[in-house]
Amino acid sequence: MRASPILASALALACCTSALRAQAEGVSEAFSDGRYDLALEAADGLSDPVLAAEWRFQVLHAAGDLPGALSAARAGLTLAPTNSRLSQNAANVALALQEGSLALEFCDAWQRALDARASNAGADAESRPAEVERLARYRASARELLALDAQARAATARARNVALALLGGTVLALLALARGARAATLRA
Amino acid sequence: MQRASASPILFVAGAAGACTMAVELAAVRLIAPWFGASSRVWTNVIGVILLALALGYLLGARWAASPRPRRALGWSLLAAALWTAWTPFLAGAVCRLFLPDGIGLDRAIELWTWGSLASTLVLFLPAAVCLGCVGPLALEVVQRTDGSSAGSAGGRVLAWSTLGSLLGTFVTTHALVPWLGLSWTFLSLAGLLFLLGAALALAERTRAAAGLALLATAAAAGFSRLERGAAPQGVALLEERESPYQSVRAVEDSRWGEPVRLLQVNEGLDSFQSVWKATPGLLGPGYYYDLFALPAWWSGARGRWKVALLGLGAGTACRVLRGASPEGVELEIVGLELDPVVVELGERHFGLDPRRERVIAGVDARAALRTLERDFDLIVLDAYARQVEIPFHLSSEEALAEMRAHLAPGGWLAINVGGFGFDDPVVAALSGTLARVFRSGVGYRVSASRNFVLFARRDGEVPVPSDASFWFASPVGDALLPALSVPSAWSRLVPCSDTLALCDDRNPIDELQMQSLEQARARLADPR
Repeated sequence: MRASPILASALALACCTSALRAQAEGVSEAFSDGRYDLALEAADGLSDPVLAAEWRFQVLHAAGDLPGALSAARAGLTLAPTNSRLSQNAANVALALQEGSLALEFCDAWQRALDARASNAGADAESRPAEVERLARYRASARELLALDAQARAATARARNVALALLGGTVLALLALARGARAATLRA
Repeated sequence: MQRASASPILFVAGAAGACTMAVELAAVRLIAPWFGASSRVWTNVIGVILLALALGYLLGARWAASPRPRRALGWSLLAAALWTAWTPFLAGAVCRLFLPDGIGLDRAIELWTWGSLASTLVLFLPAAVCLGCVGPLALEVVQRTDGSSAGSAGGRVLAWSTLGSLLGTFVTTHALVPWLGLSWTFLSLAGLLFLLGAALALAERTRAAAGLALLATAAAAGFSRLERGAAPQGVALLEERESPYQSVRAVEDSRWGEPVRLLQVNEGLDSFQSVWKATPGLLGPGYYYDLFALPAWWSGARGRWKVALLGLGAGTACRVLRGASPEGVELEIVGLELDPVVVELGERHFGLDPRRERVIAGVDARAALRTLERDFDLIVLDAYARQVEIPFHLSSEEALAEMRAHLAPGGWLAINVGGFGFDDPVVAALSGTLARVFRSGVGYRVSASRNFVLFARRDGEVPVPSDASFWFASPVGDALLPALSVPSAWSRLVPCSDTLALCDDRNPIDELQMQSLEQARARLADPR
C-alpha cells in the first residue's frame, strides 16, 4: 500500500507556518518513499498535534494497522473535536472493523463538525453536499452493523434459552424414569 | 420345544449401534457450515448424544416390561428412521434460527457454544433417544426369545451393538460421507432403520405404523436435502466435495474485478484455506502468504532454496514463492497436506502442479516431517484444524523443536497465526513458545488482516526495520516492507515461562482461541 500523493500534499499544505510546513514535507517525503517507520517518527515530531494525529492515521492506515489508525484518529479528535477529516476517517475505519457503535459515535462528531462549518459556509459550499451524502451513507452502514449486533444478541439469548430448556427437560425425564425404574424394582 | 433364534434381534442391535455412531459423526459435519467444527462443537455433539442415549436406555427399560417389547422395538426404529430422514431438511432452518444469516461467529462468540448446543439438541436428541431405546428392548426380546439369562442376553446385545458402532464409525468417515454426501448419508441410515423397524412392525401386525413411516421416509427421500449456503452474486461454485475430514469447495469470486479463487472449508466462518490469482506472485495486502517470500530475499538466496510447506492446502504458497522469489533461486518445494481432496482441488482449480512440487498428501504434517530431510532453507507452518485452530500437536514446543532440527544452518521457520495483536492469547503463546525453541525471533503483523507471521531462524537473527538487512530493493520489497516497518507491525519474540509454553503435555490452543475472540471484542469497544 503506497502513499496517496494527493492526500499527502493536502496534509502538507494544511500547515500554516513555514516551519511546520517543512516538518510536514519531511513526513510526506518519508511516506512517499515507503519509509513508514521514518514517516511516523517525523509525524511524532510535528509541532501541531492535530496534524501529527492526521499523519499518524494516514501512515498506519496505509500500513494496514486499522486499530492503530483508529486510535490515532481518536487521539486527534480529543484535541480537535470538530475536525471533520479525522472524524470521517475514524468512522470509515470503525466501519471496516465492523464496529457499529464506534462508527456512529464518529458520524456524530462528523455531523457536529459539519454544523460548525455551516456558520461560515462559502469555502466548502461545493464539496458540502457530497460530504453530507457520504455521512448519511456511513451512518446507514453503522446502523446496519448495530442491527446485526442486536440480532446476534437475540440469537444468543434464543439459543441459550432453547438449550437450557431442552437440557433441563431431558434431565428431568431421566430422573423421573430412573425413580420409576427403581420403584418398580423394589416392588418386584 | 425348540426356541427361536435371537440372531435377527442381535443384528438389529448392531445396526442401531452403527447408526448411532454414524449420526454422531455426520452431525458435526451437518452443522459445521454455521458453527464450525471446533472442539466445543464436537463436545456438544458427543454430550448430547450421550445424554440422549441415557434417556433412551431408561425409556427402553420401561417399555421392555410391556407384554410386546418387540413391537416397541419396531416403533423405536421407525421413529429414529423418520427423524434421521428429515434431519438434513431441518438442519438449515434450525441452525439459522440460532445463527441468522449475515452474523459472523466473531460477532456473537457465545454462539460457538450455545448455538451449536441448541442446534444439536433440536436436530439430534430425538433420533438418539429412539436409538437408545433399542438396547434394553433388544435385550428383553433376546431373553424372552431364547430364554437366556440377563447376563448372557445383555453381553450379546452389548457386543453386537458395540461392533456395529465400530463399523459405523469407519464406514461413515471413509465411505458414506465422502461417497454419498451428507444428505444421502442421513437418508441411507434412515432407510436401514426403516427396513428393520418395518420388518418388526409387520411381524407384530402393526401395519398402519409401518405404512405411515413408509410414507414419511419416502417423502424425505424426495425432499430432505441439506440446503447449502447459496454463493452470492458474482461468486461461482467451481467444485464441491466431501472429504474424510471436511466439506470443501472451490469458488471463484469476480465481485471485485480480478477473479480470485478461494478454497473454503465447511462454508462458514468467512475463512478460506487457499487463494488463487491468475498471475503467480504476491497476492496483495491482506494475504499472509506474501510474507513467506521474505526469507529468501533477506538471506540473499541464490541457487537451490529448499522449502517444506506444512499445510500445503491447494498450493497458494507455492504460487507466491514461485512468482516472488529472487532471481536465480531454484525452488525445491515439498508440500504436506492432510486432506487429499484439498490437493485434488488444488490441482484442478489452483494451479498446483504435483510434477513440479513434491506433494505428500493424506499424512499428518508432524508425522511426515520426521521422514523428511534435514536441510530445509525454509519451513512454513500453515496448518489449521477445524478452520480456526492451529493443531495442538503442531504448535507445541516439541513440534517446533522437530521443525528446527529439519532446518539447514541459517534456515528459517515461518508460522502463520491468526490473532488481533501481539498480546493476543494465541499469538503470545505461540510467539513465546517459538522463542523458547529458537532463542529469538520476530513476529510481523500482516497488513489489513488478522494474521501474523512469526519468523525464527536456526543459528541466525531475523531482521527488523532498524537493520539495514531488512531493506532490499525489489518490487517485492516495495510492496511488503513499508507496511512492516511501522513499530506496531512487528515485535521481537520473547521466550515465555514454563507454565505458559505450549507443549505436547499441555496445549490449550483451542481455549486460547476463544479468549482471543473475546478479548478482541472487548478491546475494540474500548481501545484506550
